[in-house]
Amino acid sequence: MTRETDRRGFMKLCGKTAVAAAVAGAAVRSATAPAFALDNPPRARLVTADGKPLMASRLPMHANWIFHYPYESTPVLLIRVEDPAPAMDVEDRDGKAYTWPGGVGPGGSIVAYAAICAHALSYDSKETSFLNYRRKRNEMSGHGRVITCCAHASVYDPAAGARVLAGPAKFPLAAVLLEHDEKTDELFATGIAGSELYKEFFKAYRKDLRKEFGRSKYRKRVEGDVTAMPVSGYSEDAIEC
Amino acid sequence: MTKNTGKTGLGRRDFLKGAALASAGAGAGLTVAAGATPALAAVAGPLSRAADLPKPSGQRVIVVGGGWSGLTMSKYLKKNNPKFDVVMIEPNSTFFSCPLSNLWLGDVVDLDLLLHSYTDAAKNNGYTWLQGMLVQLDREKRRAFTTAGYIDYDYIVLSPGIDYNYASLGVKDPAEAIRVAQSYPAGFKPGSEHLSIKAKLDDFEEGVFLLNVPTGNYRCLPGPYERACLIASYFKREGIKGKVVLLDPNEKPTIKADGFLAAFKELHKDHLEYRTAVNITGVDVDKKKVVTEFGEVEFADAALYPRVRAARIIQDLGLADPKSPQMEGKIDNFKYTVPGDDHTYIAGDARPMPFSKSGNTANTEAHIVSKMIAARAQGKDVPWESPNTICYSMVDGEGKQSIMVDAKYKFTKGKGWGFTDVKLIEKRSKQLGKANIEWGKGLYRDMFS
Repeated sequence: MTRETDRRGFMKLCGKTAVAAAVAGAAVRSATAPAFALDNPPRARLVTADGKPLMASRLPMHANWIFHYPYESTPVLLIRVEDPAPAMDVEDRDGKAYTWPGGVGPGGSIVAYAAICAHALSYDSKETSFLNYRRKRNEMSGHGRVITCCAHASVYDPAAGARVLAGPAKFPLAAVLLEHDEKTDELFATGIAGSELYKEFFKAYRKDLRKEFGRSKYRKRVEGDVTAMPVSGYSEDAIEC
Repeated sequence: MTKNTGKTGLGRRDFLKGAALASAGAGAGLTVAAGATPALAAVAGPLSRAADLPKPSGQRVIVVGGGWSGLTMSKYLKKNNPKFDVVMIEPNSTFFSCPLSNLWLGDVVDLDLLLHSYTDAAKNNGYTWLQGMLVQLDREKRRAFTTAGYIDYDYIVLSPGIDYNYASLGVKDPAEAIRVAQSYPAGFKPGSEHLSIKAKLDDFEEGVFLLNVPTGNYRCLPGPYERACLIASYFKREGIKGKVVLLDPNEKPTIKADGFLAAFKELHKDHLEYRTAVNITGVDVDKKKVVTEFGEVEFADAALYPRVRAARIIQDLGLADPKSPQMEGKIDNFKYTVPGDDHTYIAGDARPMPFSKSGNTANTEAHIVSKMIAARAQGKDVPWESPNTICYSMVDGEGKQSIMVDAKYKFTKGKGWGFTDVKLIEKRSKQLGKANIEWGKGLYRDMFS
């Protein structure tokens, strides 16, 4: 099942007003082609810690989950927002527009973004996760239902392609493209759109990543299934700010 | 350091007298030997030659100073206009970070977190680092004279930082100012001052370790309070029978007051004494005491922080605002240019606007100013934006807990500059402690990689 069919499914399924559908449709039509930031991206199925497929409909509302994609060491936030997140155009680090294809799964509410801050590369590690999605309004940013990087208070909108709402970041987090199989309810990560920062990320953290993921494994692309779990179960400290 | 002539000046005059006699003798000798020996130049040095630099590859921009402002400026000038040929002039051979240095003094982080390579910063970001100092500027010809030779430029950004004003501590004699600076260094211009303070703490066995808060707009508003907390934590951990005495001319901490006062009371009451509304009016190096309006305070050791001023070079170049009590640069507050000269900019802690003199302010300001200069070079203007002051303070060296503030600035006609968009988290936490350290790491990445 492709993302497009999934989106069509979503439109039929959720049966929002014609206006909403028209707006979403217009966004899709007017949009430039997605900026696939990676050649031949791996296709990875999301599974839970017990190895069973992660069912999209079982992902809790306001989930702040993590998995690794497209490399073994590169973290991704998997989020379920409350309202449908329609496709929209956002701008990359060079000011070039690209299409963020919107949420997938139930109500088009499941989204995923690289958990590597577009400002200064702070990221989510086992020890500490600096980027988190929270429903409640946080003290540092004054926003709720956003992704905040607590190192320098960059704030991103998960329901809008991770566009920057506040703070020093200048462009959105890289989007991880998702597919939802309506028949099996499984989720797949299939690519990256926007400004990926993997080269800079590996350069900045080589030492730490080698220690945590293995000397050469840290930059190996994922294959097959990848494990997704709540950030609170992965990181010793999911920073709130 | 300011005013380092005076007593040594007497010595200089004696020396000059002697030199005059010698040169008269040499002159006589030359007359005799005329035609046989080439005449020696009376004054020689690098000011009369070009710096060893290749021909500029585009418009040349000089950045004076390799602190948080200069490093960010150099990187983003090049990023915002890849055709710029950027040369950063910085005399130090290694970058030593003042932000996070209190954490090192308190044994919370290692020294290598604070040290970074100018070579790598320049290589990674496509500019040239010239190890030297600016000494003269010909703004008409656009020629900068440095200890490494002169450089012709299209634009120059002055980010020289601060110097200390020891007269503010009642120490007016220059020789005495040098003694105070060497005996009890302030530790807000890294790194020898910091290495000295660290050695003092390593050697400290008992008694009072004296710190103070200066008057005026000093570098790192929470710095003295954070340092007091982290030294108190260190004394506790090491079982040292000592306490920090922090003298503050203000009634309460100048920033994050509630967070600091809570930490003083709840965590450090056995090792920290906070005295408010006290001004230091004199320092007695030999007797190890300071004089205040309320009597003397004796100490076993100290780090004394004088009022700061813009680095002396700003005044030497005739660019200081005579009305500024801290001799800061006179610039258009929204364009950063000096009056009548669109090719000379002043940024960082030498700026006249009453922004927090902090690393984060200098970094975010340089992002904006570099954009302005890149636009100006193409005959365009970009609107002013506020720099951002994100400022963490660790108040607990044992539990590694921090507090924070995040603020921007706005200008209101009739009122002047004020804070806006202020977010204050004064409840200390370990999570903010982690964010505190990551804050520094992120900005080192922004400047060096």
